[in-house]
Amino acid sequence: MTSCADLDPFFDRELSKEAAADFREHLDGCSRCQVALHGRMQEEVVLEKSPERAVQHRSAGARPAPRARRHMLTYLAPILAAAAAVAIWFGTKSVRFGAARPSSPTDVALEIERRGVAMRSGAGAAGEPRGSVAQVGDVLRSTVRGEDHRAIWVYFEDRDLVTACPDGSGCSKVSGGLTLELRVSASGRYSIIAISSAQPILTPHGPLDVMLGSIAAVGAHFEIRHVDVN
Amino acid sequence: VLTARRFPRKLLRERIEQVEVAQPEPKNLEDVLEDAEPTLRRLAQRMCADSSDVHDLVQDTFERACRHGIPQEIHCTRAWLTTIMHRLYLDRRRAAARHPRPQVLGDGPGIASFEQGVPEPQWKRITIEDIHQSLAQIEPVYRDVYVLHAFEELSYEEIARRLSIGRITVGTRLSRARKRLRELLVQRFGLEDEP
Repeated sequence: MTSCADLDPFFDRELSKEAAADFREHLDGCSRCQVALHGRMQEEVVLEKSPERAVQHRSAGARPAPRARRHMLTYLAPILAAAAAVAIWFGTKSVRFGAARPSSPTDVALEIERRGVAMRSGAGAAGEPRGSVAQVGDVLRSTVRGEDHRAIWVYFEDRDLVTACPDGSGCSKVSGGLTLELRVSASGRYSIIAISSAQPILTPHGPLDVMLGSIAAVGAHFEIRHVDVN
Repeated sequence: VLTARRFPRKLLRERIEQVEVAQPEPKNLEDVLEDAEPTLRRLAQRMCADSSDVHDLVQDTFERACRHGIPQEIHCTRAWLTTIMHRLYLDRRRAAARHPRPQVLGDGPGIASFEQGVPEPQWKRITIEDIHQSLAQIEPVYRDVYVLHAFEELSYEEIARRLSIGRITVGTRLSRARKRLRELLVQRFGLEDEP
């Protein structure tokens, strides 16, 4: 037995096939649900403009479903962690991913400026912690040097894109490099991804795990620095 | 706590501006259709029983839009296309009920004249920021479910696991959140409420 109460689960695709078919029949004769359905559709159009949705859907054709993305992260995270561990174990001065091109380094510097005082963070020597701690209001200043094309992405909680250089706000080009200055405005984990590549670097359009997979696939070199903001 | 942590307001504002700057409303019909296609397809998937129906509904919507062009008074083309799709969907359902086999719809009596008279939906005045502001006034117990569903696009089952509540409770809270959101928007913008 279906009723108007099934509109939301129907629209959310939460009904079984049979129950959805029943609701469609109900919808045919229920003007109240027809109007409400239009409202739901319009609401969706507005929600599609949300930054979260926009980021997720910009590459809809090439993107797996949200559940599949979480599975991808499950698989990708250990691989990246293993790669980082191997690189550190070999005593490299900085952790580099991507194709095996030893003559194409990505040089990254990260400073945290607190009340006008700059502090160098995670300089890249072997064994140094990769993470840093900052406070709301501090300025993160990151510079990347390396191959012909360079980019800096900043993600919040590994999911929300905060800004992306070279086109985002706070980005500037310096001789042979690219610099980002970002004042952190929320507590949580910021991930700064410094990238250099012989090929043009795509504009980020999805969650961090997906984008790392994309740039690794084209042989770009990148480093990740985490900053925990309190 | 959940909402505040996931959507720091300043970050959200910055990102909204970025998205809006990067994606201005297209004016050329071809661009409009290309821009709206993913949205319309996702909406059709919510309503139609199978993929061929989804494809047909999106194509019919585009065909209808191409035939008549974008009316001068329309500013939010996605909303306009969504209204066309909604009406076409209902018309297709009626046609399917009349005919055992689905037929290609012509200009039947129910759909011949609506394009010119399609009013731009009042939702055109609502922005994503308005929704966030209204959400802030909703009880957290409902808001959290709405946020997880609307922005993270989690299923009822996933939300139930995340919040350690029952799947039916998720549905109930989501419906109440939507109802409350509409009430607030009606109050603020004078939307026509659902009957």
